[in-house]
Amino acid sequence: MRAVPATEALRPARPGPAVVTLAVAAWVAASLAGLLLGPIDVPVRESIRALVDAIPLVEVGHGLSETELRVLYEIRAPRVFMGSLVGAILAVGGAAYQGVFRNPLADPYLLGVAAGAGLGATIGFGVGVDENLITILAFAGAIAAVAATYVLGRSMGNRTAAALILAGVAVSAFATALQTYLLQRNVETLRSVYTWVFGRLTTVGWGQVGGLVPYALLAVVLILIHRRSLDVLGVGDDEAAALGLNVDRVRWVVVLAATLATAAAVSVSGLIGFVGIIVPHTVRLMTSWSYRVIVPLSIIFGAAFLVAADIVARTVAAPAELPIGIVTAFVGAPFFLVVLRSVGRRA
Amino acid sequence: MIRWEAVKVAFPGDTVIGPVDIEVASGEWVAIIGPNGAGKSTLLRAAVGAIEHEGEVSFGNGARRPGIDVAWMPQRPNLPEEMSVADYALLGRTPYLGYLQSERAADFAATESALARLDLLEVAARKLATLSGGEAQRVVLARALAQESPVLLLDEPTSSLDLGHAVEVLDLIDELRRDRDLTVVTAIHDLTLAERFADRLILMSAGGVVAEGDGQSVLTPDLLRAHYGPGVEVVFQDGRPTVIPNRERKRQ
Repeated sequence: MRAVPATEALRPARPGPAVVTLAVAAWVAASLAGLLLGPIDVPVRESIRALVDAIPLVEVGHGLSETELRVLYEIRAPRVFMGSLVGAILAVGGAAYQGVFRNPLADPYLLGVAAGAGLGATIGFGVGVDENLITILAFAGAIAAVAATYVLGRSMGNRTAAALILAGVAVSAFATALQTYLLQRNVETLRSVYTWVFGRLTTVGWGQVGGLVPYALLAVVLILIHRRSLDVLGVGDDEAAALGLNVDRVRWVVVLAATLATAAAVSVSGLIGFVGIIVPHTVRLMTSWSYRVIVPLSIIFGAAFLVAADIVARTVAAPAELPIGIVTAFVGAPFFLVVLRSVGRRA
Repeated sequence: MIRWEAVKVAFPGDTVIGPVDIEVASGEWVAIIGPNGAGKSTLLRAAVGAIEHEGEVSFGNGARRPGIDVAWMPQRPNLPEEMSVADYALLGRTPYLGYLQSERAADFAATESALARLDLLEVAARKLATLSGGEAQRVVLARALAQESPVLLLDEPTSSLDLGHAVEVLDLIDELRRDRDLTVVTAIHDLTLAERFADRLILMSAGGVVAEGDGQSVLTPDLLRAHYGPGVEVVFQDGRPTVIPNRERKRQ
């Protein structure tokens, strides 16, 4: 009799089939909507036929013009993929940071990624370089800021996670101060810098998508491999070490993967906020404390969330576009509060 | 067995313990006693790799695999609120799992038997946040037992238990020790419990070993007064030293 509840409880945490189906369905629905909706009018029915036609060995024919096909495949499709990649990276990066630092408010922005990228981009706009160079400067700024955080955090003597986070706060403040100074000196760049800072997936082509894929793969694979280690870290560094976990190695591998991928993502998309906090927490509140559940689901829900947010960004004020960072905050923050409240009532 | 050789732990500008040399034989139960701040917990932490140290800790097999050669029950464990009792105990199998592995049948069996041993099967699905202090302490012990290590280091394993449950848990540890020839080292504040259960007592004070041996030779009025102050007194119960509080001195 007594063994029954125990054997039921003795099961490694895994995402249930229902919630995985929901996550995939959400991503597929958001992606389809992203392909079919937009300021340029492309007939929806014919677009669907064209998409089905694109499946190998399926021939249904469609009535889309060359231009309409280009809107579908050269503008909307790369944008949907870019949204998926950036959303997945930001969400899984946030989940990874929260696990590694045992801090529910941690995400890669905390170690200087955001401020560094912002500074890099601001320098670029000030000098007046072209769009591609802005991306490279933003990436370099993000990496330089995180490297500074790492060196400073390590030099504080104790190798605790708190030292690293404090160093991140200091480096971010410094980079933001520099950025503000540069903006004051070059007021004419304010508009472009702010447009960049609040994020956009606009100028995306397949080339940029391809450039982001290796970083996304790196982060997703390394963090998935360490998802159980993140659970073990939940009992603290000392106990995790006593359970045979190489705490330092896990922490640095996960942080490096999440940081590198986030830096790559923000350098093309700008600073899209909230995704790294909201998506993992919503998943946690709805499913489980275990990173074996949170990590895989955050990847899929993160992709779905950002693709959906992008649809809102480019339709509500069409033909103008809202910065996607404003949408993620505007939609994400109240949604998160609703989840928090409903879970609070249930508990 | 477990051996500390010239083990020294130093924080910047401050030596906490050592150098300390202690050897505990297979199947032996040693209680580390001593006043607050004597270095008992630090000694145990050094042995499980939770704290950097000089000198060497070995387990008589040439290897040092934290989690496999030695299991540790911390004095102040972190108990993630949302985790269930079963999930927490399963963490004890971490040292046996590679990066890409999930728990296998052997891991579930070891965990279930640890939970059963400590009468925790009925609460296996409960969240850690809902447990009483005594239940939580048994859950932490269950995680250590699930590790199936030959050496068990227990830091104040009975601090949250009433005397009845404390004796029950220590009896159980003694039983396991005999069954599996475990080496048991407990840091423990209750001197009388230490004397009743351990084969040998080691008295630590100010980071070093100041006395060791059986209860008769360690729990002497002189040693206790020197290291615990005047508030303790030794009486003999059936010829065994028993430590009780003493307030007479203050009143006079």
